[in-house]
Amino acid sequence: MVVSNQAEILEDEDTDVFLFEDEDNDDDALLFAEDLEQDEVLAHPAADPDVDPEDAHSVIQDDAEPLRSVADAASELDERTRLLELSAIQDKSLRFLMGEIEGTSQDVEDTSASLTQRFSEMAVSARDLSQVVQSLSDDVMYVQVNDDRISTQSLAEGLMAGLEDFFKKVIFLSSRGVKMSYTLDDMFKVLEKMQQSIGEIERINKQTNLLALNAKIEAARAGDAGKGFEVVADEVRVLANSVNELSNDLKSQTTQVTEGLEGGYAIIRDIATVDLSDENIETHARLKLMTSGFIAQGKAVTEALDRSTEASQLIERQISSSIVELQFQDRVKQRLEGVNDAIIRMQQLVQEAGPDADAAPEALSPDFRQAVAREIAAVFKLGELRDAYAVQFGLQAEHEGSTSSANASSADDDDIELF
Amino acid sequence: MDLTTEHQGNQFTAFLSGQLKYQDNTEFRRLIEEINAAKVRNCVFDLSQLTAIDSAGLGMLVIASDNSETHGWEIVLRGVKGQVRKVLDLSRFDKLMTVIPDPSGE
Repeated sequence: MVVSNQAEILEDEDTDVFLFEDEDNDDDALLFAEDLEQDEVLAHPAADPDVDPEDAHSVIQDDAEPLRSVADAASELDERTRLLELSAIQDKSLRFLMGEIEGTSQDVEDTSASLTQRFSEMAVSARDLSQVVQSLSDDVMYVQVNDDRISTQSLAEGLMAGLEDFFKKVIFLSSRGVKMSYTLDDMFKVLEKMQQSIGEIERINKQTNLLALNAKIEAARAGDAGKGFEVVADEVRVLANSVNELSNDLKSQTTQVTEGLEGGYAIIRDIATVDLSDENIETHARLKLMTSGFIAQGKAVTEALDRSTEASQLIERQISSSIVELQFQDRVKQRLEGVNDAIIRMQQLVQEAGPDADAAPEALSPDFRQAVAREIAAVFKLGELRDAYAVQFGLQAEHEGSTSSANASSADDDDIELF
Repeated sequence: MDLTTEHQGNQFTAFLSGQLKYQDNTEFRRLIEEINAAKVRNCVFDLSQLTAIDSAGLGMLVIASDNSETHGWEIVLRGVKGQVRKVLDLSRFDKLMTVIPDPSGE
């Protein structure tokens, strides 16, 4: 009764344990269990050094004694011993696997802790990045003028408005200049009339002079009686000469005023005339184009920066989600712990209900034990794991010498770790 | 600048051709005085044959606008094109008076 119970447990546990292995290996294990029950001699390829060179190099024996298959070794043992041996192997293997599960769980925990740490740092960096981009976007859109923040849009518009205002002022100045020249024209007309008046004075003065001369002649003809007239005539001539001098002065002064006004006229013409040839208008048109180009560019940069901000924020959100998902590691750990706990309980039950352990001294049949251990060791694709398992069963010494060469060969999948 | 005028009832039309520059200010002043004296309600400046204008020319048009306000007549610039149109656009003369561009769209 006890034996058959144990066999059932063995089978169940085998299946459970191998749930963590590949499907193919699981099949092997089931085949293996069947082999034992049917007690048949089956040459398993992994146990035959001649057939499988891969296995041969890892299980080479120093004394070159041929390895025995599980079936060979089992055939020499009675059923009870065989079951005790299997129970011992199973116990040891389970302890080893539990250790592996714990180690793996710890690895996952460590890795996810470090991933969480890195993701947190990335999230912080992404947040910093979006802030930098945001402030850059503000820098592009606004210009600091003294204490005011002016948007580049209104700056450009202000520039254009200023230019238009400047144009208005130029035209206003020109119109005042033209009006000023009208006033100057009027003054020229007055000066012209003044000069005509001076000419009139000169004409009258000539007549006066002539009259004084005539009066002097008439006074001389009158003799002594004309003496008084002669004095008056002389005085009139002196007066006429003075008027003549005065009109000459006036003439030269009005000429100076005319010349001065003509100079002013030229200056006003310069002020009123601003070249508005096509080139100057083109310059203005280009300035207008540049300004609108400047505004458009600012908008494009802002849009690009906004998109960049959005991308950074998306990255930040994705990283945050990843961090949340990494907490799944806790569930993995709990499940693995559950598996381990179940195995521990199972072992306790086996120990309580199974055959007396004292009746099964250590390694009743080292050949059988090692043959089974080799079979199980061959399941592990990872060389590191295979070696660790082999050490548990004292197989280390048998292929210790080949460990270094095994690493160099492509016999195991350790290379995967490189990726 | 070359100038011809038409006066019919309330309508006065001035045809300006060539270039309107500072040295034309005396003749332009006479034109304005003629319009004022004609006591018309509408005055059209036909600029379709005017090829160029400088700031003094713009100043004269501003003086014409001032006179139209003080003497009660409407001013219209007609047939503006080329450099004249560009300059009038640039200095926003449309805010000051009615500006009708040349139908050719130049």
